[in-house]
Amino acid sequence: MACCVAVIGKDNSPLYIRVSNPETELYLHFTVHSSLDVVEERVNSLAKSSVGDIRELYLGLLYSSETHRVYGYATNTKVKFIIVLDVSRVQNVNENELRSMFRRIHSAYADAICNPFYIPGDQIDSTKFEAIISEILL
Amino acid sequence: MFQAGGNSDEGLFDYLHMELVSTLLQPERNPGIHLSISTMEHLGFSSGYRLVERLTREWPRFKDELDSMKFICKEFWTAVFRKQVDNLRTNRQGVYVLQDNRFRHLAKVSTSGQYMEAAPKLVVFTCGLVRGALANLGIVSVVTAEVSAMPICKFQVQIQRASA
Amino acid sequence: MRSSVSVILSSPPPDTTMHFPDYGQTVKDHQALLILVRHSGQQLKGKTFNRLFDRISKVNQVKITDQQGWVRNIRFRYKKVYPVENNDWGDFQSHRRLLGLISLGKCTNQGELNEICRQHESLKTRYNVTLYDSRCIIFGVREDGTICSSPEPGRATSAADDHIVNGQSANEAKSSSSHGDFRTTPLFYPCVDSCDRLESDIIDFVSSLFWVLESKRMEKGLERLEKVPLLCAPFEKKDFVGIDLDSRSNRKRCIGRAKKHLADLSLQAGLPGESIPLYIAAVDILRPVNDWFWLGCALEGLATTSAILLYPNVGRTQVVQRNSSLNVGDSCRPKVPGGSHSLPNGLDPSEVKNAAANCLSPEDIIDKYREAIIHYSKYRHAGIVEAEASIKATHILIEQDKPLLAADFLQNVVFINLNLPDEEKIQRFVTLSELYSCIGFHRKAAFFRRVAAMRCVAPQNPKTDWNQCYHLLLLALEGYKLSLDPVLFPGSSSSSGWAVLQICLLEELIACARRMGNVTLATQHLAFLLTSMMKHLSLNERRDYALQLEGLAVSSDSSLSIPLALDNGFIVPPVHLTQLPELRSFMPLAPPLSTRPVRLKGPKRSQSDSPFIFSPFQTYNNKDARASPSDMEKGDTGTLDFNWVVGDICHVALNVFNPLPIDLKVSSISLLTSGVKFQSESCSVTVAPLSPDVILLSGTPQDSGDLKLLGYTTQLLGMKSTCRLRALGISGYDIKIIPPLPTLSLSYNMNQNWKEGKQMDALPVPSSSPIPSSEPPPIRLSLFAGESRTVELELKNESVDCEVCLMDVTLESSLEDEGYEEGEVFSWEKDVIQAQLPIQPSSHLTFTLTITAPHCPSLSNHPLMETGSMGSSQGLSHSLQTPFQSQSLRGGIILGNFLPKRSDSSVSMKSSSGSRHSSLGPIGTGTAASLNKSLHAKVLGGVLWVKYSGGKGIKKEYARRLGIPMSVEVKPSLCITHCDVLPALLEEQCYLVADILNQTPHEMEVKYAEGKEIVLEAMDACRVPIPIKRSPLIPPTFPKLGDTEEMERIRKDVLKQVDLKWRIPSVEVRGSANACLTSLPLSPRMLDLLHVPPIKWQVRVNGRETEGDEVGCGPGEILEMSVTLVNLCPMPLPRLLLRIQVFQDLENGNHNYNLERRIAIIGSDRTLLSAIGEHAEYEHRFGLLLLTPGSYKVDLYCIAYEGDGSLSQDSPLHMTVGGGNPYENLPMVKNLPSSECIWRHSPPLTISVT
Repeated sequence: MACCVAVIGKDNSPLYIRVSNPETELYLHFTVHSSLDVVEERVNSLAKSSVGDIRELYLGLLYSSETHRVYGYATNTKVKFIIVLDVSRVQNVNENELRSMFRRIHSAYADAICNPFYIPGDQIDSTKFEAIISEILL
Repeated sequence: MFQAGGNSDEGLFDYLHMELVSTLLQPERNPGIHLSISTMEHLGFSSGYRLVERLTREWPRFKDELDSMKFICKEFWTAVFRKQVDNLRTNRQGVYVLQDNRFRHLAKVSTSGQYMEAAPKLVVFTCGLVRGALANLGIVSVVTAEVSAMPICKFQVQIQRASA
Repeated sequence: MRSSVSVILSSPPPDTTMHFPDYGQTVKDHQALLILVRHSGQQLKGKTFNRLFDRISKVNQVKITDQQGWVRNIRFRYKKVYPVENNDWGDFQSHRRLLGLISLGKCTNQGELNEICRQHESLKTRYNVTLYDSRCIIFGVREDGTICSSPEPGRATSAADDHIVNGQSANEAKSSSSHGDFRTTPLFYPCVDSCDRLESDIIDFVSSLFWVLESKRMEKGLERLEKVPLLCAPFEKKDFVGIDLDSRSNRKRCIGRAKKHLADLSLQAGLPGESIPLYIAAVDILRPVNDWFWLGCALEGLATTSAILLYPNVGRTQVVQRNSSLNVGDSCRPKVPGGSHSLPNGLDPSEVKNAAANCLSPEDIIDKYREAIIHYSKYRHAGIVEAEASIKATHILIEQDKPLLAADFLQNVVFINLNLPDEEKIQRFVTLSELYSCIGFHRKAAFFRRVAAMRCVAPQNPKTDWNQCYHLLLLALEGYKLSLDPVLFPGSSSSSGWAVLQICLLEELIACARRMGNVTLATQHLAFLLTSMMKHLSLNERRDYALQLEGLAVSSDSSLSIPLALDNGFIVPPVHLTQLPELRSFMPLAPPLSTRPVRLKGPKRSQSDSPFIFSPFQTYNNKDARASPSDMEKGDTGTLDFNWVVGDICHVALNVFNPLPIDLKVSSISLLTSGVKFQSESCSVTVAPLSPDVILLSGTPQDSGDLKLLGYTTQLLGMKSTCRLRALGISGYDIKIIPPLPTLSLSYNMNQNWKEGKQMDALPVPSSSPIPSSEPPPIRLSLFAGESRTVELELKNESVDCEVCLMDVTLESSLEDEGYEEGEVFSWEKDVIQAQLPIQPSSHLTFTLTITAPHCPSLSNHPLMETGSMGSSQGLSHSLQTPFQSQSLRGGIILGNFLPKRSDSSVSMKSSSGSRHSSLGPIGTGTAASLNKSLHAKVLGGVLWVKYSGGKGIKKEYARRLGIPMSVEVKPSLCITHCDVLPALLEEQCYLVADILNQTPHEMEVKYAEGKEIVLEAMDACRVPIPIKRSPLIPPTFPKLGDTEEMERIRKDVLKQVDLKWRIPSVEVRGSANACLTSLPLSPRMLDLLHVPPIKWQVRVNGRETEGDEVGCGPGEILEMSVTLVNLCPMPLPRLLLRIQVFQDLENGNHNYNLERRIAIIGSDRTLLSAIGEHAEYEHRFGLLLLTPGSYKVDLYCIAYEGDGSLSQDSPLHMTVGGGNPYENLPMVKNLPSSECIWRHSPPLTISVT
């Protein structure tokens, strides 16, 4: 249902990004990139703000335009997952759905990390990970 | 082997660790021992780095350094050693001391001072483990261990503040 | 927050909305009085106008004391342009009203003066709805009103004068004068530079405005609420035509709006404390009547006022960088002291006191703004108001340090649907991006900058502006962590931002630059893209960019990349194609061994001191660093362990890789050095696609000293680039350049057949280094043992200017270890060499080297052979570094391991079979003959080191070593298998009997003595006697057995006399075999045979001398014997034991001593002689009785008898009548103390009894 899934490393460089529709790829790259500010802000503002639910890894809606909605999720290890929904295709999505999507990405990522042949910080190229992402993209 | 709860693998980790130590850190078996001490540490580092990724999966976001430190002492330690760190102390200037009164890798060793000089070999992996875990949590640190009486081990974590 | 999202760029129907939003507006402007400053007339220059405007706008805050004595702080805002449409919104928000007007003009004559006045008037009429007062400031008119530059003061001017006079004197606002329509007070200044009164006049003016405002506020405040008119925003007007305003709700509407208006006024009048309650009242009134628009307005007013009170310095925050990803800490964020939530400083407490009453809390302010904006958003025409409100809110949030909320408001601005001209849209995006960077959202900021940039050149944009686009893009780079400086980018960390986007941006930059027509810029960017992004580019992209670059670079004006300064002051740093080709390693190469400088003096390095002769690493290292033994002693540090020489061509090897999928043509590449002068030759190479290559850069040092290798410069794809090693993260090299040294080249010829040598040379020499190595060809000989050959060596001084003034020839070989005399094998005339020094440039020196094939070291085995030789010759070979050489040597060694001791054929066959293949390998002469030759041939190796120096280099104690490898294949020729010494007839002579063996496959003539020759068949042996003169004893030494120097002396003595020459007619080779004897073992027997005895025997029988001839007598006849010993040597002999023994020679080698029945000796058969002085003599007499016939022999000998006076037990001295007891004799003779030596009377005296 998502039209783009991205994994962003600690240093905010993409570890993995995949879009359902190649035409929109560059646009989505820009969208994801520009929505990182909010993620950072949310994660960093944790110390400042006294809001309780901010402690959740799921960051909720980061940005919404007429065409797309960008949702974010940041792990404790400062790795970010971004899901972009195409408004035209997905009218109403409920948070829990998103949460579960993110959780799946997270566990997939954790597995990928635990692969001793993967060097943290590199691009992720794990077929298992691919498979899960493509399920989410559908 | 780090999955919490599994019992069949209780020993496996110990054996693996022992083998690592004996193959890497026996001078007679391995001349370049100093090199392999760091190798060992690095083994620990990378496994800690990867492991924490998994352990923090279902965990709420850490408020601060202390928060992540506590995580290391409780969940992380439990996952690896089946017990918590017995005592965590800090000087609030970025030095934390984790004390394990019955450190698993030392527990099997005679409590007499006989193997005192062997102790470093047995703790170096764990130092790496902790350092790796913290590193992935965004805390750059130097981890040293101190063994004064045999099963007791103190790990000192020195946080490296980003020079700002 | 927004109820409906709308497309940003869609255009709504045109109507009475504001012309364009004023993004600069901040909350403060709500309390400011708006004044328009216009430039009128042509005389005043734009610059001066701006300067004046700045001066004027400094007067933006005036403290005025009102009637009550309160000090009011009044703000003023000056604008150069203000659209009337915006002015029309004055009722809605009074700070939008234009209250004052100032025209700035300059005139030189009356006409211009009037023109200026006219323009001023027209402006007044345009804004007259709202205008309170105006000033027309005219320069070029004196105080008295006369126009300075007007030549003649005529009537007209006088008329102008008096008007101006009273205009000046009468200080009322409006003056009626002769100029009917001119009703503004003009301010005259003679010239622009002398208008010190300007500020004060402006203050007067603005305060006058204030008073008008104040009065208006007063009357509004007093005006009865029943009949307040309905204020409305421009677009509302039509909605209210013809509806009755007296309806209850509309009444409230009016009142509410009126209150809100009053609030605005009092805010402007510097009474925020009063305006707040008014706003609150307005809100309370308007909310129930659903007058959303004005409600929003009131709310905004309320929030604004509170904000003004709380944050006096709002809107002045500079760009903040917060996000850790953009690695700048919060440090640079401007903090309002005491935190933004508490009472800000610079606020007069009294003001706060009366404001604090109902001033909103920071959170409320935002809530109010949000609500207001929501209300605005319900009205299509209120877009601009909404946008401005959002931006003001953002400013406040920035002040409150709430970036997330701020982001929301900005987001809202994005969505507001405004119909604006393109430049306004661009302006909006730029503003947004600035605000985003204010809250630290640098990515968003960058995003909008890029959007703005794209707008500049959007197809629907009528006037595309590539320059603006380019500059906006430049600003956007930072947000994408992209720096155009190759030094800073890519960052050391593997991931430096978002490659895809960075590439995209760079592409856009390049495109922009091209459209701008700045090819150089485009080239630079493209080069940057190619170098810094290489690892992120696909192969095709790499190819395309490379080709593009090539194309661009051609048309670019400078092929060398230099810092480009753009017109906005931005500097594009130079780019160098450091990744093309990508450098893998950079290694200066040592000069080839033959020309490599070495220390003139210095510890002579012996081969054996390196324990790693066999270590593969060692050899590997040597191949790499090309370290020769002589270098090793200097190569203490990890740095380069060799030097370069002035004038020599030196090489550096670059391992490079071509990351492009196309051929990379490097049109020129050369070394980049600093330090001493260095002339580097540039070469051109083509690196195959996606493949590594080795480029050999060469150059010639011009001067001695230290040379730094900094990197290299390339020219490819039409660009010149300088690649510094430091930039590439490789450490540079420092090389010591030593003063010039001469160079010698070697050539030699051998007087006869050295075809073998030739054909061995024909074998290919595997070159380990890419440099053409100028090692001299090895000297190869194949000789029969004992044969010798001379080689003419010619050393030519190749260098042009420096002469060779020192030369030292040494031999380095393993011969000693193998037990040979180096000197005997290789010898050359040292003095000849020294005599020919110095060698002038391009002249030469010749000397002869004599090589004599040695015989196998000795008849006795040498344990050294197996162990020592192998190692040493190995070391030799690797010092020589021509693998071929080492091979052949090794081959030699394998042969050498077999020593033909006693060369019986069986052993030799074994050896040959063992040695065949191994000898075949290196020596490589496959023919049966050569195989045969190398049957038990062995190869001796050695290097003739010619160490020479001269020129300036010699002062620095440097020299060069020319190593001439030599290998001699020694084929066995004549060998002595065994030898012995036999007494000759003459007493002073004896024979050296040698068994000689011809090991050659040829017939051999051997000449072993004067006129004594024999012919030996191949592999034939025979025994030859060589007459030797016995050597006399040399005092004071007495021959002792095992006393070696004596033995040596004798041996030498013998060798002097032996002259064993051989000749092989078939191959016409001659040699000598003397060397075989060098170490012939001498048994005691042989030794004392070789001595001339010190004692002369005189034997008389019956008084007659016997000279060895036979004595005859009858049986039983007494022979009177007398033996006289004469001491020949010039010293006393030791005590001697003289013995007489009679025996019969059985002619079969056995002697029969059992003659007791047949003989009797009268007197003693033995006697102990006291020492015999020199040349003294002693006589011993006895009688001998031979009883039976037969042939007897009398053996007379004496033993140097060490010991006490008495004879030993086993030899009691007594007389035996009728023959001594024979039993005691035999043992006596047998067990002679071996330490003593015997002198015999030989041949024994023979007596035949008949």
